[in-house]
Amino acid sequence: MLLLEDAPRVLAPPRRELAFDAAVTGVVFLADGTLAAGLGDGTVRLVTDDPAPRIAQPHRDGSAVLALAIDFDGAGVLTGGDDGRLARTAGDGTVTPLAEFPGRQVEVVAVSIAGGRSAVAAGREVSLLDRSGKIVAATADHPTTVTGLALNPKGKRLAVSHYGGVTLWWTGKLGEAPAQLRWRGSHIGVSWSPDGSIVMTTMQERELHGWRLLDGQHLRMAGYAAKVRSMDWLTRPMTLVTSGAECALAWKFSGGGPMGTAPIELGRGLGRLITCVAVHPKRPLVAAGFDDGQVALCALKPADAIVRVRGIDGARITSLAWSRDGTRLAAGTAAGVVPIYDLVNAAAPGPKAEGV
Amino acid sequence: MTSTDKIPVTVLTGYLGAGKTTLLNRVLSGQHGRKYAVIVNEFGEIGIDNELVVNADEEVFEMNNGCICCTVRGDLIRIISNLLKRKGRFDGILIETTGLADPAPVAQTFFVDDDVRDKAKLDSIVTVVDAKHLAARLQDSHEAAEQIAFADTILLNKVDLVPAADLHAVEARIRAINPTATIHRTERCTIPVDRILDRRAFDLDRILAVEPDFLGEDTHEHDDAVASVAFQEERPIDINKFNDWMGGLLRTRGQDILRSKGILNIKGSPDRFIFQAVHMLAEGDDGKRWGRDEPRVSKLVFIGRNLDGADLRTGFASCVAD
Repeated sequence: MLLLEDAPRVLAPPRRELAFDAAVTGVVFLADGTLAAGLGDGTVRLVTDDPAPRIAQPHRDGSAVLALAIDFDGAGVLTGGDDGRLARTAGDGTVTPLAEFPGRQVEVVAVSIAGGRSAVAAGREVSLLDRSGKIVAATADHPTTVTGLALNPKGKRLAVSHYGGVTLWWTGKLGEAPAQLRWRGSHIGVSWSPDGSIVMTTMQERELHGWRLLDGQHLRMAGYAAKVRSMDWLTRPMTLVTSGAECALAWKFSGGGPMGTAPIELGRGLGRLITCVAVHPKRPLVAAGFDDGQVALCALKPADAIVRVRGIDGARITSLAWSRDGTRLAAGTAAGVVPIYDLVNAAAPGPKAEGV
Repeated sequence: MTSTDKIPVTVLTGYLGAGKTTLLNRVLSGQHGRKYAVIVNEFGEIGIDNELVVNADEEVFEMNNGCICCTVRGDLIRIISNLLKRKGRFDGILIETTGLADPAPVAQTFFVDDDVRDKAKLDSIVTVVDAKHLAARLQDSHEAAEQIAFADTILLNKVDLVPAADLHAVEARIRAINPTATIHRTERCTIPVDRILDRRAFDLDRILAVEPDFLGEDTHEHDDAVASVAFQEERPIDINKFNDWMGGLLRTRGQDILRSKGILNIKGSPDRFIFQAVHMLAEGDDGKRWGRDEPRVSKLVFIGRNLDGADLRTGFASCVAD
């Protein structure tokens, strides 16, 4: 195990590290490799190989970017801010305002590339946007404020989390005939499994809840040290990776799991709390960020192989993103630092994902 | 993050028409030189388009954690976490509640949610009371008494509309419910903002000024009335005995005990121990060091319904160190 021998040493210096004077609230790579970072000053910074990042200001000065998602075309990002605005920022820095919800914090945005739809929430209201960024449908038929949105892999169904569970809509019939997934408690985020069979939520009560759509079977995974703020999926074998504990917990959905099985523990022994996870796009590899600024790469097999790429600086990791080809990893911290790592080896064909 | 780095949060309660909006507008005007974010309720009357104003839905959630009175404001957890992502610090956050709101879920949010507790601290609860109509409000609703019971600071507003003799009666009524709150008499809520915001350190000391064995005069009238009881103890307190007793008391009686607060003289500690609880949720922290010549006296105050003064007195006495 690399960790014990090398614990104090950071193994991969960043290719580049940028520092901004506001917290980083989200990072994502565009299709051409440009990194878009949303900040707590209402700006989006676009980082290419140029020495100075481009600055776009989709949100009011003095507000914060709260949500950041890559747009359908991979050439821009949609952002929601605490100024009540939803906007698109293209890779060249062009800003297009899309919607405004006065007095609201827009913190929930979801995009389905396959379905050509995006969705945004403000209060109890959910709006669907088409490819041109126009609102085509909206409904406020939710019992409380919407806390999470997820489109299924085909982009035909929309899961909306709120207190008491999840409302499921058909995107073609938003506002009509919803299905309800009920579970008492405050659901604060939602995610759809990559095969479309399962809807998972994270809960205020420091646990995960899920529903198997085929038969309505409930899934319940408890025992987290903190609220699960970040979850991501490995497609094969289908595995849900989550933050919220001292190690990243990976729940396998094969072989009768995950209920009644123990999760795989990734990154144990490095820090106190994992705040963010991101699954590599091609390999069974997880990037995990800690509340003290550490970032580690953890292999799902063998589960104890860890490479620490960033040391402790005291600022929480708020966001992590892989480039589409898996050769780069970016992180964002609450202190405004954005390290970018080159991980050429991580993109090379490794052990087959199957049999993890 | 140490407690001094945490953003102070002030909760503003009071009936519609008592004068909350006037006060909020003054805070937002910024002439006091400080920057406050203001979270307003859905029925509020703040008409200003200001990036410091956020609309909230007052969503009270029951925590699914087996604690029966553990309700929190889910919307506040989100809004406060989001506000703290902004560049530049606020001097504080002010939360307006609707006239009929029970202050407990707001206060409990600051005990229950880790993210909020890490970064923000409940500074004080300010209740605006209409001097002219208080008696009627206390008659016709539960909430009026609860808002007074929970308050650290009370603005007795519209005093210009009430004869002086009546004012004394109104204040006595308030004192019977809440002996520890600081009362300010105001007209049109005119008061320097720094007298009500970022007050915690100052106002908690008022506990020491409370007369012991103060029993609300309403106690004997009807059981449902909110009253208070206060105790003093000159012998040092054993912290473990106190935690055991208070923990058990709040678990069993926490629904009726709206608030409890104390400044304790702990055996072996040079510092005051500050204790406070909202229903069943309690926190304790080291306070100021005792002065060299200061009498080290413990004071404990309970505000609630159906308080059994004799039982509480016996319980507190059992915490005296051997």
